[in-house]
Amino acid sequence: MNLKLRWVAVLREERGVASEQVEWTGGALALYQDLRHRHGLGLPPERVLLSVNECFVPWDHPLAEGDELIFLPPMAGG
Amino acid sequence: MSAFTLQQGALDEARLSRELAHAGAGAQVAFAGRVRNLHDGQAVIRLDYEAVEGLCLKEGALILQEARRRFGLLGVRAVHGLGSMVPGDCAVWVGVLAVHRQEAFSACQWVIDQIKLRLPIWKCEFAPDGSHRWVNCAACAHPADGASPSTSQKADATEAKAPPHV
Repeated sequence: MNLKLRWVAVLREERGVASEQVEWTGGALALYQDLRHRHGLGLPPERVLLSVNECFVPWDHPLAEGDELIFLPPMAGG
Repeated sequence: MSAFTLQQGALDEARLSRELAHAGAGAQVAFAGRVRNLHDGQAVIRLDYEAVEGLCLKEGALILQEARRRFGLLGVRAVHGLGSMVPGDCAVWVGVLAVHRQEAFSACQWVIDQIKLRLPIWKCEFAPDGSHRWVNCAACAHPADGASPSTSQKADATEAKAPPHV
């Protein structure tokens, strides 16, 4: 399925792009781990939260064609 | 206007405070979070804030609804600034109205703690030598720490400890 990825904060800086489209058949956790390995992202998945279509969801949330994923680094508002 | 909003740049605390009013409120407590010129012993000349805005507005509204219910507030308002700010700027503001002071103090502290724990906002800190670093609140992103955003939470985020700094 085709997924849209939006990169934010430190992960955008590490990835080097603000958004991209990917083809993926597995789950979100495996996708993050694959991207982390390929692009040298520093944050392990246990320090990252997942947003799908601008909702917080657990890593095992089922993905669907056209979903927009955002991997959220540790929050730092305030 | 929604009770929780985001805006570009530093906040006008005086205006926000004036706009929060209720004839039945005997207590107004406000918190202003400011950009500091020092963090972990390192000089800071600028902070750049960014957010996932849609997600942030939804979660911010939930926090304020919870605060109203939990503390029986007569009014509550919170704003977070985005973009570049310099030391002294007000980056986040929380104001609450209650009948008496005790619930107003408690609610104000609870709201700012929840904002820091739950809202998808990040800040990048710039040093005088041109270097920068992303400020992370490590306690925020690990569900096992007992604080996670509303729709994926396993623990009761309301019991979460306050993060270490503003």
